[in-house]
Amino acid sequence: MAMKIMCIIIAAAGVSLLLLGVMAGKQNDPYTSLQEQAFTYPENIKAIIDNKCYVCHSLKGESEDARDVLMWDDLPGLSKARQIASLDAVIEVLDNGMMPPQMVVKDNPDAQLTDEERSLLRDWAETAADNLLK
Amino acid sequence: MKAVKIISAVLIIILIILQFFPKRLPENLPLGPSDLISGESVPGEVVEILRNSCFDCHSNQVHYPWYSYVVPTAWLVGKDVREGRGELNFSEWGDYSLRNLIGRLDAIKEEVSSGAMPLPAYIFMHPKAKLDEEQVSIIVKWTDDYIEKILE
Repeated sequence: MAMKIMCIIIAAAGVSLLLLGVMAGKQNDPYTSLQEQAFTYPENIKAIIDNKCYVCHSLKGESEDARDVLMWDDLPGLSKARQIASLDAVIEVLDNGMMPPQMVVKDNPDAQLTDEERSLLRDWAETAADNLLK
Repeated sequence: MKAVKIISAVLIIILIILQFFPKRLPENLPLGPSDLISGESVPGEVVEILRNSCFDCHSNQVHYPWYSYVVPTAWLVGKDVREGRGELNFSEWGDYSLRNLIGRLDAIKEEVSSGAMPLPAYIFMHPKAKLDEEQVSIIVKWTDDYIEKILE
């Protein structure tokens, strides 16, 4: 009997520790807390970024300049000022056609933004910046 | 020796002919209501730094040096001023949206503290435009305070 109770106590302790661990893990998960702090990318915007921008503006990007200027994964975790400044730059380079760079499009025609994608991304960036300024 | 003389003569003739081409220098305008320094209360030391190190490309009040009136250097100076004004024009400060202002202030801070601005070529021709550490920190503090004020 005593053996059985001991087993139950140990099992309960184990389960509690596991639960605690999971909860602690959740709190420390930087991605979760970042997402809560700032905007998230809507699905359609995320798809455009993944397909057209991510090849350079992410950890897998080869150009250091591109990574220095903008990392889409890091954007939601930046300070409010940096987020607005980045979005302002995104809008500018979409408007003046600087992005995606012609060099990249030449090698990889799929990276070209359609007019629709360009305006979707632009309008999302503008709304996101306006929300941050409210 | 004869060849040197001929080449020099040809170069001089080309230089003279070039002077008949338009200089394409962006126009200067008097201070207007949109100018940063006429519309906002900017600390005096900041105005002094901006005037001394930035306004020659980033404002409508450019001090064109003598070589900017000679082609082909006129074209190089004109290009720098056109591009500089396009990126940031302190004379159009009042026309920028809050989003644009934060974008520009953030870029000013970044460019100045990394030493990317003023451009090395500009500093070469204007050694006094080089920013020392104290001037950089004055500009950085001004941009930080300004952004904070906008986001308040």
